[in-house]
Amino acid sequence: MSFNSFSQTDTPKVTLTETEARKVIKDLLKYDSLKLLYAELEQRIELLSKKEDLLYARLAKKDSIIATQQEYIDVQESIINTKKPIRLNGFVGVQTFQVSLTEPILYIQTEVELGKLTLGGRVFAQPNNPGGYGFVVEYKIF
Amino acid sequence: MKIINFLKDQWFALIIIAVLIFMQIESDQRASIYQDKLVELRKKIEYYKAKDEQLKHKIDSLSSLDKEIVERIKIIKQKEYVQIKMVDSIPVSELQQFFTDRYSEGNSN
Repeated sequence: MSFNSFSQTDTPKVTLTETEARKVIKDLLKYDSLKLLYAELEQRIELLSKKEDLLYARLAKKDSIIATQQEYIDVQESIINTKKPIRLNGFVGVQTFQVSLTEPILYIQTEVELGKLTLGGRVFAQPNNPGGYGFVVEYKIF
Repeated sequence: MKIINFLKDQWFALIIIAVLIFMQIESDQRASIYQDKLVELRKKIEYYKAKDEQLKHKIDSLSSLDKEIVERIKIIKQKEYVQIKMVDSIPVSELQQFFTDRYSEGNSN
């Protein structure tokens, strides 16, 4: 079987069998479909690129949020350190002279911690000796 | 006179009290600066969160557009499959008509 519809009178004729014609039509239909698919896929690629850019932008925003939250925590820690309440301590103790229990000094001490500095007062009593009081000034070395 | 004598006797205690008051005032001032900074940082975080939310909405809308495209691609493939199947069953006259329609004058496809 031959098809004359696509042959031209002034040019050489091309003859296709029915099977060949069906194959050609199938190929042409596939070509049409691929053209449509190409357009859709191009659109999809563009869309996905935009989406990728937005995701990167979102990632950057998340990083900014994390960094700012870290800064927030740091400032809060600074506040905690600044507002550190003054620690008041009280002690009752015994002090000996050398390694001996003869005439130990009994004392009561109260003190205030100001960072590395400790200021306080001590009242002491000793058997056979008059008692007294005094100030205590300490600096924390370690 | 008694007060002056008392102050003279307790000069060390007075110095300590003065130092404590000074430290407290300084600490309050520093805390106030930090509080302002916290408010500023909170605003900054809110701003970033709002921006992030906007980006999320944009991404969601793009995702739904993508789904539409995928759906259209499926339809194109289905149509192609049906058309190719039909080619096997259409009569010869229609095959001829296909070429005539496709390569008629003015149609350069």
